[in-house]
Amino acid sequence: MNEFDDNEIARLLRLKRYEQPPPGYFENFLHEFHRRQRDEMLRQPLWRICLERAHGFMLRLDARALASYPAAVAAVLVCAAVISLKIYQQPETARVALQSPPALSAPAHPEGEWSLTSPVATQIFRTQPVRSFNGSALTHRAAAAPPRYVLDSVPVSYEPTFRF
Amino acid sequence: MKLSEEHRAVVTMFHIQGMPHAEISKILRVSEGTVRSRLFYANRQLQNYLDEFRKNPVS
Repeated sequence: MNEFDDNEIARLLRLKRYEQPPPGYFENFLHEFHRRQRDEMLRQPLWRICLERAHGFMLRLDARALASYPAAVAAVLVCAAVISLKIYQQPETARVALQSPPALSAPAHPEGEWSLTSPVATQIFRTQPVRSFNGSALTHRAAAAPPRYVLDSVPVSYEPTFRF
Repeated sequence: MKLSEEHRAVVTMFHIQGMPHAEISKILRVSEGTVRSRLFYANRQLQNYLDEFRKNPVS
């Protein structure tokens, strides 16, 4: 005779309806759940945990919405680079033109007038453009001289004669 | 925890919670025949475990 037939099993299992959890079970349920979750996570290798966290972080950031930010930053950087290149690659004549007006103009402070600026600094400031001006004058003189052409460096009389 | 997940769910819902087969089949999204089949095999396993326990209560 089999003691544990279907009815007996059903009767035994029905007794489990009256089972109650130990006291404090529901109070500690959330804490216990988190502890088990952490234990399960720590069983995984470290690289998998990092990968899952990075994946979750990217999903939270919504990469589609952030896709326009790098493009905007790149555009701003390109514009800044182009503007800086244009500023630093101005022609030399433009710099001379910017420096020359103070040299050609009369000194801001006359001789008798009291000034805080040192005379040495003023002298240096005034001599530099003059040098460049003299150099340019020399080049103008050389340009004004008539060009000298040498058609043939050996005169005709020096040509070797035929000897038999 | 000797029963499988599927068998344990059917046994819990039918014997302990007292649900009918139709409701269990809706919850588990299986046919009623599958529920009855799982119950039958789960009862068979439990009978075997209880017989072993009756013969050798220490284990």
